[in-house]
Amino acid sequence: MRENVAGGIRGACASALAGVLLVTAMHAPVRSGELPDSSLVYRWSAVYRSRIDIDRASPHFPWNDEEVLSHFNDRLAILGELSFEPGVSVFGKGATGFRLGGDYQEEQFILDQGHVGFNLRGGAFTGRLFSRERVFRTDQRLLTILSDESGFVAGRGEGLAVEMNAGGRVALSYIEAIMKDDFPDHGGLPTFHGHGDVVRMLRLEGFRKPRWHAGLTLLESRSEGYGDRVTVGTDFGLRMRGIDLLAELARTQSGGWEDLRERALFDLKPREARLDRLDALFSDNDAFAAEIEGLKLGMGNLGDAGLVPGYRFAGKEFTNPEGEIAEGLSESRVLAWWKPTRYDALISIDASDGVYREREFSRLIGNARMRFKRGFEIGESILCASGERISAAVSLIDDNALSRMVMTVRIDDLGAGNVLSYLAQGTLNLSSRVAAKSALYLYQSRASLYNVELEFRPREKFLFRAALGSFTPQYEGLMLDHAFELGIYPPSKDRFILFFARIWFGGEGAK
Amino acid sequence: MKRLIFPLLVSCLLCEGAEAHLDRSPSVARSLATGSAFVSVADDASALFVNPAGVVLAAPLACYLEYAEPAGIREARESRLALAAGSGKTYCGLGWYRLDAKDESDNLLIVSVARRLIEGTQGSFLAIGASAAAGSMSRDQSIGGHRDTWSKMTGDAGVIVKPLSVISLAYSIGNLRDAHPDGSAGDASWRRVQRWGASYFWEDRVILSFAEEHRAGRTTIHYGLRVKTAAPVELMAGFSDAHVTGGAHWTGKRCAATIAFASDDARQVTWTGAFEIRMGRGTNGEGP
Repeated sequence: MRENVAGGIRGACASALAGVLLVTAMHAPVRSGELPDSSLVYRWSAVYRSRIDIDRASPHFPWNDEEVLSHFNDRLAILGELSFEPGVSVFGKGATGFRLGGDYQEEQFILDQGHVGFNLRGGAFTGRLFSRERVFRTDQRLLTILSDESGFVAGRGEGLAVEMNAGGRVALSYIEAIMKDDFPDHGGLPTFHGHGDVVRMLRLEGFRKPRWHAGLTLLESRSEGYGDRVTVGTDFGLRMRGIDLLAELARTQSGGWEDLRERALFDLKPREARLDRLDALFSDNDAFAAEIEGLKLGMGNLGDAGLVPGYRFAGKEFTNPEGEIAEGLSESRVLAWWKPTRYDALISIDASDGVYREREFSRLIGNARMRFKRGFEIGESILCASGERISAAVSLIDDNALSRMVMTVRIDDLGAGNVLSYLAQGTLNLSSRVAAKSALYLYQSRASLYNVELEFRPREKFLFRAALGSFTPQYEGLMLDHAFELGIYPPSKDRFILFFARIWFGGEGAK
Repeated sequence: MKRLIFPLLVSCLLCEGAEAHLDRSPSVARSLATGSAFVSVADDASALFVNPAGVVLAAPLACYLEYAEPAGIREARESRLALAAGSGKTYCGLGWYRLDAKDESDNLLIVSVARRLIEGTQGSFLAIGASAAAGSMSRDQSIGGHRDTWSKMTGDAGVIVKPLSVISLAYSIGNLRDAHPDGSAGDASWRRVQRWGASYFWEDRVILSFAEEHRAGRTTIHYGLRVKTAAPVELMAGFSDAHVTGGAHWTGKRCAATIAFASDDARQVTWTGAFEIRMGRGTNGEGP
């Protein structure tokens, strides 16, 4: 589970980074909406990146007296988009070399991403034929039946996605994707090998925002390595007097959609349920989540306070690898928060208890965050869990036009082992074009790591970075401050020197 | 006063090193937090433990207290007390260091004098300092079960020069040595501690420090970073001999507090807390 989630985080961050690069690459001084009336709008961009790494894994200092591995890789990506008057657009992106978080296709020029899309009747009917794009939706629901954070959907499949919206009351969407290439790491999940695997999702939703919504989701995955699974999900939301009641129910079973006709969609046991044993209502193949949002109390000068109670269940046979639902969980949870009026602060307590994989747990996470004038912020978090020692984290942030410094200290096994983790990340804006960055990381009292980077951005279309260090900071800060439940996974400790350059060109126009 | 300083400077170069574990934890709290790259930015009463010349940057009257539980020594507690007083160009300091461990205890009493020799424009100056120290160590002997005590006199000296408002350079030499009192180190084995360092002050908010320390034939390199935040809190981080260090320093109107830590090879962490009370107008907290 931990490896899966960690893999998911890695994949998500890599995907986010790729997304940032793409968005940055596609940046153009004039937006399409500002162009003159035309039947054809186009834009294009080209990005060239080169990277030299010199890696070394020796534990001895100095780090650069014996290089063991150096490699150079570069990549040229060219993308273009044409939009025609009736709402049709064609997008293509070709590239040489590998893609972050994607496939290794070295020394070939490949169609990296592309789609043919349409948008008819003012958005009432949209769709696209896509290749290696992130078109999968999560909709921020309590049960994530299909997650666009999963590694295997991050630009791997090709297929069709269509959506119809009837009068703002009913929406119907369908996604079918065939995974094209083998996944080098199972897409971050243990179930998919990639090549030939199929994912189909049909969703029907009725709503009258913001009063209510109801939806039905059918998800089918056919995997050569894992077998065929189908997930049926239903969700419901109701708002009354500013209070939202949300409830979702899902069930998985082997087979495809055609097998649903032979079995019950849900197998609830209302006679066995009790107030203290809500999980008895569901079967092992079910997942259920409910939450009440918007319970808020105004306390005048003291500020506002609120509660968010919730319950979550996932049976031990519930297998939904396309999403992010942990099986074998029954958890009651309440989040209490207080936001003072006079201060820019938020204090919250997240208490939960239940059973995870036949092991009872109770957990309390306290969090307080306060922001002062001129960009100074303090945050504290503490985790108390049954059967475990307390973990605590403190972060100090100073952010201004000249510099940004983030210092996070976390102590696990408080009172016994006192395992200390520490991260100090600083960015100095030496000028409008040059920034120096550094990071120091102490991982669980045992590994001391460093990173130094100089970034040169003389023009908007050129970027140069030189970095050296024994690790590359990615999301260690987030892990120290928030990932109490997941723990901190060890950083990569290879020492390296990196030179990175990116040049991009682009433009747009109309005919 | 010059008549006092120069004999002290000469004596520290000539006298013998104190045979004790007196520098087992070589850094005061802020030095520990900034990776021991503190020799060129020592600017409070605790400077007499690192670079005596830095005492001239303390407040006219300052009292410094520190407590640490150093990793690597069983049941050990370290305490430091420093008093600094002065006016004009000359400052005096009095320091006491004590280490209590399971089977040993060390004491060190330091008297320090520092003076600004040159003062220029935009905060530039040259300061020197020297100190005389009396150290004693008591240790339980495993054979015989008795307790042996050694006492030695020693001396330190240091210099800080700030030629520009953004650069500070410093050098200090100390005669404390980490020789084991069983005589294995040999009487002829001098183990001076020499430190030199440089600091760069950027926009009066960020201080980057570098220091090199030579001790017992081994040279270690230290890097430090201090960032003054919008609040009266200074964030500190360092990289000392391949180990990460860090801490935070709060400065009030009349007092200051520091918490610092450093990791070591044995996956242990030394935590240090310090508190300082200041009186009179001084340059403390503004850097050298």
